[in-house]
Amino acid sequence: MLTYAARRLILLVPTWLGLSLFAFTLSSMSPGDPAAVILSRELDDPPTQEQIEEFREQHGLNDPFVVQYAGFVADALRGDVGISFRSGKSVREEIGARIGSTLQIAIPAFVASVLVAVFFGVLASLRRNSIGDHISRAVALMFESVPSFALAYLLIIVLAVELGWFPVAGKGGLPYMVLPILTLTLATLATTMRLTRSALLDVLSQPYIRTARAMGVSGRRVVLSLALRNALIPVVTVAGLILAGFVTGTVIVETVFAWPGVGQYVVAATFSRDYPVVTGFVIFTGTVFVVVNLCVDLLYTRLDPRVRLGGRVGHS
Amino acid sequence: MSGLRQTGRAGLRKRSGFRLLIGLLALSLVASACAGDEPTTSGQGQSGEQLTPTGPQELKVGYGKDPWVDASQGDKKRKPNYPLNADVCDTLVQLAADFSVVPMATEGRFVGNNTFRFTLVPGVKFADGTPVTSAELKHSVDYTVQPPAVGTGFLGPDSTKIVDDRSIDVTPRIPNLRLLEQINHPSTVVLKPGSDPLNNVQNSVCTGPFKVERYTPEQELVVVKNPNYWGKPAGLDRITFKFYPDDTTRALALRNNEVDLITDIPLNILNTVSSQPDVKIAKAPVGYTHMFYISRRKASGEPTLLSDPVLRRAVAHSIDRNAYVRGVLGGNAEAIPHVQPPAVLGQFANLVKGVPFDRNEANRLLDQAGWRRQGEGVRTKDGQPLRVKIVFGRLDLVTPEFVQAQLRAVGFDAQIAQLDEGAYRAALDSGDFDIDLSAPNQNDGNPAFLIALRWYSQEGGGANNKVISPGADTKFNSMIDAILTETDPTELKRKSAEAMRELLDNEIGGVTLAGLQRTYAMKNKVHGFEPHPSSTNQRWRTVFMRN
Repeated sequence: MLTYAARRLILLVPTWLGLSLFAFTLSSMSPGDPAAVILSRELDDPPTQEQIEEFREQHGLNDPFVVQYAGFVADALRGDVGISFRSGKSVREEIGARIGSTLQIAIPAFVASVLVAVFFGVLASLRRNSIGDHISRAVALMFESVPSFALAYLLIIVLAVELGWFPVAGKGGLPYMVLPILTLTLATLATTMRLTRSALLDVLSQPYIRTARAMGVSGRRVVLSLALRNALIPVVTVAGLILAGFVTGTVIVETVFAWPGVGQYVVAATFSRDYPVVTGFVIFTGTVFVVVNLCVDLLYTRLDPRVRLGGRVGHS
Repeated sequence: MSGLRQTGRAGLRKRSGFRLLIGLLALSLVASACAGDEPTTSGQGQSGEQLTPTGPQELKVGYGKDPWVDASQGDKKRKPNYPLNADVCDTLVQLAADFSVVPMATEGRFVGNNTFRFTLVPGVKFADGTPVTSAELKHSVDYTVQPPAVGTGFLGPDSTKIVDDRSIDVTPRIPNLRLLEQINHPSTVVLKPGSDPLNNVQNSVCTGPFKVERYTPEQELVVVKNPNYWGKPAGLDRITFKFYPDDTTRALALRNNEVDLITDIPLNILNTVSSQPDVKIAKAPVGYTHMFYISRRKASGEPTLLSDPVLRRAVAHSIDRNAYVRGVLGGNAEAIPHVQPPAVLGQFANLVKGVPFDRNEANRLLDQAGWRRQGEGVRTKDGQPLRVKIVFGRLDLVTPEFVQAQLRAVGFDAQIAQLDEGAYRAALDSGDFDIDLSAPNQNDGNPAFLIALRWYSQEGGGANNKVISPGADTKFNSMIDAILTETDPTELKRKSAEAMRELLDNEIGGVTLAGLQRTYAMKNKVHGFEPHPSSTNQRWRTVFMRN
């Protein structure tokens, strides 16, 4: 396992380099001169060509692409992915100031989504084709089909305005977190639940499960100890993607609930052509996805010892 | 949002969540009309008696997105006065609701030789109790020209001189006799030296009726009454401006009593908000317009299609303002021809007529110009289609779609380009558009503000001016020359109205769709709110609560 982990960590390097090259190239190809953009915002009068050229020289914007990219990578490895055109602050500082808010709702939403989905997925598989099975799948599918902004409004109207249980929006303590977390949870419930159900049904039909039952193993132990671990492999994959998606920002939920997270900020940066922010966020997002996928792969070995990573088939 | 439901009175509030869900999903909108007379927003009751404050004097305002988060350094430097004006700082002079300029912390007057004198009103002092002298006044004006510069009126670092301990002289670096009308913009406030709004707005000291208690970016701005205010004390003890980027959420926060007042209600939810039983609506006089600029040439100098005055006039004749006000804005606007609020022109507003809607005349002009049409299709001439490109700034897509439909009715192939902010700016400067839809605001007392800013051909003018202006040798341009040197306020308004008439009625430099009013919704317990047509000049000092 340690060998596998080390191998995957080494593979992170070319993956990350490819990602950074992609982000940097996109930024370089974007129309408009960043020097003109920055100077237009900071000067009282439109910048002259001399001022633009001077700025470009000072900030290395006239250097060859490879030189600029090398400098970008060196800075990025130190966590410095540039300066926001709009605020003049480092992109790391800007994203860092907001990622905490995003994680405040992302992590609980992820945990709730997975736990609830797995719970109901297990129940649905055990009571296959029952009324409860049909209802739970239909309700989950309904929530996932509704656009997230409509779901958010629906929850606000019902739970906040009509019932008065929670505030409408804003950032604060636990009462303010419930509705955005609930929105994220419900929006991603169906996929995980249905995947759990189908994977568990598949595992429960395996011969070793019948053998275990025939040998008198209790139903609970069959499901929880024997079947579920194998059924969770595809679920873990999807859960990893859900987590990465939540962490990298949920702009609609943040906007509707006035939750000052990173998603809203990056969307605004995109429309304002604040390229350092966009590039920095691409790097951040890619890194999150790469790390999450690594964790998912490592988790596979814990769930299923048959999985021999690196192509080796052997005995423990 | 048209999907909002109203479920009746308080007695139904505790019905089960499941039944509510079914009811909501049925998508039937139940609106309950307001009963009885419409409550007033002034400090007077229905029968004219003067109301008095009762209960806690704390107001929670549901504002839009935090204006300083994605703002330039210049905008951040103007916290908390612009774009959101929290009434913390006094300006030198003030823009009244009728767009006249009145004294505030100072009285201003023209003293000749391109110079204006500002003399402190007796008793002005900072929120910490220290008196204001001319040294602090000079500092306040100099602050606006220090990088990042935010000044108005073409001021420079040497523009301000101390006359005596209560007066300063301000001389723009180029001839500009409109300084008095421009300097009432909330960019120029009386600010104590040592204050740094850009980096620490909480410790910034001004002279207004409120002072900043705390500012949490993207969450709220809280101001409290200034006990040392030199003027009439504010009615409120505390105002909390809560930021809601989403309009529907803001309206729901009002309904849920989390805020007492919401600003700038979008017209698509106005009817829903106004039908709430404990809510009243306040509208300011027309403060901004929906209009479009017409491009005449690209930045390279190459003439555009609409450089042809016949085509421009045909475009103007094809626009039905009344249909826009009625159909798009639901009647919540005025069909005016002016590109600026007519009130700023005073008694001379009627001089501007605009080009009337006349589709037959538009068709006749186009036929006469050789643009032929097969049935209801696009007109062509020498094999070329009559194609125009529409770009737009911060407007909903419905507005360019309306203009597109109006133009298509007379045979234009009007194509809408949805651009992000950067591409939009680039298009405006390069002239890569024919029609630019915009919603300009009047935030100072200069009756020629917009027409001079956008259409005046001048040395060092903006790139977009070169694209849309009639030209340096035109009658319009010479009219602006005269306006910039006019000293008499009445003559200024007359000349501005005449210049606007020349621009819109003759040159057809642009077309106005409607004049719009800032609309606010508030709980019935809020009183004394005086809506200002300019949102950046909105003040809160007269507001009080009757709980």
